[in-house]
Amino acid sequence: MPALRTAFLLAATSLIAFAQDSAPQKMKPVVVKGATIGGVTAPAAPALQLNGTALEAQPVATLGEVLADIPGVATSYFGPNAGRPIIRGLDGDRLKIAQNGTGTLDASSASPDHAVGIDPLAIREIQVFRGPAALLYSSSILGGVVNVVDNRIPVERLPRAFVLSGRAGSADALRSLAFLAEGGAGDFAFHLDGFTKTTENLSTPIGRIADTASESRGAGFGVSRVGPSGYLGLSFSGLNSTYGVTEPGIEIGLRQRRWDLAGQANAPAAALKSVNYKLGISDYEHTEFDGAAAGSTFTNQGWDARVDFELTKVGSLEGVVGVQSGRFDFAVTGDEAFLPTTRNANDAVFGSFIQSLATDSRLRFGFRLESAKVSAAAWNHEGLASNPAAASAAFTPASFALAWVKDLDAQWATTLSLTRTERAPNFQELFADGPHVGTESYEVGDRTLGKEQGWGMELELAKTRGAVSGSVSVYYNRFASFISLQENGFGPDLSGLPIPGPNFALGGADELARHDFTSIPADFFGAEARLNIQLQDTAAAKLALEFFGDTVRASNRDTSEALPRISPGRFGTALHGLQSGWAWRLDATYHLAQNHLAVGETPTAGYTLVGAAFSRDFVLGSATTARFSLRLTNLFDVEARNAASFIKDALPLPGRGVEAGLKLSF
Amino acid sequence: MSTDHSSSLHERVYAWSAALGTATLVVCVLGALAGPVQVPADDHHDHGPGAPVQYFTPPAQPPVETKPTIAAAVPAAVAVPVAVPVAVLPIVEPVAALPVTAMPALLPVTAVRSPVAPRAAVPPVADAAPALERFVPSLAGEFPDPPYPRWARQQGIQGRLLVLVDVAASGAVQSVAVRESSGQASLDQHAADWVRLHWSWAPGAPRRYLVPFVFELQ
Repeated sequence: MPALRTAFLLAATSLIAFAQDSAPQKMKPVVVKGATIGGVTAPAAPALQLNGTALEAQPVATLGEVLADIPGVATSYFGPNAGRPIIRGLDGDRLKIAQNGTGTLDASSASPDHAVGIDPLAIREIQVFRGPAALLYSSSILGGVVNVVDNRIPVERLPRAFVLSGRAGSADALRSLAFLAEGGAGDFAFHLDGFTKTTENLSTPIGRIADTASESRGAGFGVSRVGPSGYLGLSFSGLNSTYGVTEPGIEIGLRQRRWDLAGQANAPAAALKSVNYKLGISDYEHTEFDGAAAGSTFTNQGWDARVDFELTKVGSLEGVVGVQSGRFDFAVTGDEAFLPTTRNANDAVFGSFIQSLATDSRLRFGFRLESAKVSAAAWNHEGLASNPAAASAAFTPASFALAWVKDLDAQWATTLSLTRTERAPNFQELFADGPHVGTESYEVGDRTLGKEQGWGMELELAKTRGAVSGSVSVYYNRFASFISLQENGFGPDLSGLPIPGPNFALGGADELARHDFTSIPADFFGAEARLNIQLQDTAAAKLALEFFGDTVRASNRDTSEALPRISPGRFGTALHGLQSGWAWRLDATYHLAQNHLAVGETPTAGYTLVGAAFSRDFVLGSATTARFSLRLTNLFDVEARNAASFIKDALPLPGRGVEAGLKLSF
Repeated sequence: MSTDHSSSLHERVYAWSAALGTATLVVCVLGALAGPVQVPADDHHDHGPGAPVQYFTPPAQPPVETKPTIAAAVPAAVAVPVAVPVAVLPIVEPVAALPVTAMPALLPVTAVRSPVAPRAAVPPVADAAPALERFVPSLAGEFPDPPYPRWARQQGIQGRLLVLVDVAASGAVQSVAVRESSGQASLDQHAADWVRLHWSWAPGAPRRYLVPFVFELQ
């Protein structure tokens, strides 16, 4: 026994001796914080991010639907295949959608039936910017800016990953398959992704809707050289899609090819934390087929580039400044040629800053000065009475934003923001003149339009920590000049023309309602709220109760008439949790009736949508995991109509549906 | 026209009341349900007073009630690893007399961690202020913080790990090893790669350092 003890002590002593010989010293912990809800911490941080599991739990039909659950966001829902997000009642060019920081360069803002040029299956993260940080991307920021990130250019060394995922749904007979491969060798990192997605005609409570099927394929490849001083990468991606837009026999065939170049230099000078540059070059085209015959073709060819300089903190001031420049040629040919060919140029200089005022308050401010020019070629259009000559219009919008953030205590913060926004009218608002199937109207632009101008004011109160968290915000956006499509009698009589067919007819005659792009004074006001009560929160079991709601009112200040296609208020509740490996969520959302209507607009009834979702991760091997997910939508098969949709009277929201997904990670 | 105006006015008043009412309601509910005010997590990682960062292997620590002669207690504690408290829990206040270099954290993790030690046996943190002394004071050299990797942020990957760095006489990194894993090999690799590529110390004798990394999402 003593021998044992001696041996033990000896061993211990030698261990100690060894330890003292080369014992390491402990350095201070290095704490690296990643922002999932940014907004107030960095001058370029988004207010909201959707990625990972939360993004995968969303539908994959359109970008609008992916975001539509967020308070304040609606989708334009032109059938199941075309839907742009609408934030706080602001849509089209008023709500910038960026792809990796540069423009999407598609045709989605020109018409509600045009899909956004990036499919949800290729999206890895969606960022919503608000306030001063949004000025890094757009001068029109009262609704915010949506930036879609596809990860195609690696920005760092990547761990090896291979992911295969599939989905199948019942309401639209969705079948999708997607893969993702990432990895690296030495200083090089690569990314490869691809997907295929098909849907059949949509099933709704009023039956299957014809001409809503779709077929999409897309792929992207990117490679970067990553080093201690930054990275430089290149990517190429493509999207081919054919989709119905609920018009009998009409199908849109979309094709986009895009090159992206991006790089970053870390600390290239004492005054700079980093310099980040991006260039996107895109070739977009879509043809609207009427049966087998090609009808109109829309093309958009252009590029968009930006350089962001992240400044070294000076005192308590942090900032990002930069320049952005883009050109694109937009053309329509064929029988829906309601626009001349235009060249669009946009150059901007911008900045976003955070000045710390005290330990518990800070000021965020930003600016964006732009120079925008639209040049239209001479135009000889068959449906026009006259042939407009070449013309151009130039604008210099200037936008500013100021937000004061005050921490009331460790858990509560309040933000008061004031925004001045200006937007140059786009090619369509200036030069449109012709029949437009998407809006079922004869659209007429106004070459004398001035800038769209507005002021915005918002008060937000947020509780970010603790078992009870949430936020509530109230806003008032006042436009001195808001460019709106206003009904103005009927378009020219097209009956003598050979091309326009019965599809252009409204009310039987070969006449379409005429809509003019007009500048009106407009008011938008509304509120958004979200409340999450964490009832149980351990690693193995979670349970939370959530409440959310939003409301927006938009009207013409001169006439007190409502603006068209504004989503009514909604409020909902959800119970979600994690038990014995299963993550689940049950939710119910009540959408109010919309009776605040524009001239000629039809009301929508109130409705409640109930849904459920379940998912579970399985470990299949040492490095193989699987996630199974199941989503049930519109459980009670309610006939629901989206007030923000152009075709709400013809097409309700999808009926009861179940969607299953399986994701394998190797 | 005047009726139009008044109805619109009514609607506006209604909408504003609804908005403000909702806001008030939410604020009231939030207020009623709000827990006690806590120090924000930021302050926890200030490395200063209150820093409870002790997720890595704690030093062998005799219970407070044991004899005050610390020097004698240390070998015993090391020799009988079963007595060492569970690693993840904050430990009792450290003993100032204990030289930093004598930290038995160098022992293999498996030897020090013991499932036998009941968690209840670990006294709660009494006063964390002396925690400062556990870490070496600020060193001369280049220690830029690593970025939060995009892939980790997007997938919601968080973790804490401990890295052991061998520093050559020149101050350059000689080798980096992960001493305690975050449970995510790719996150471990990211931190180790970062130290290897970006950190350097001032010249001096060859040294070893333990560096805890905390990757957390807000």
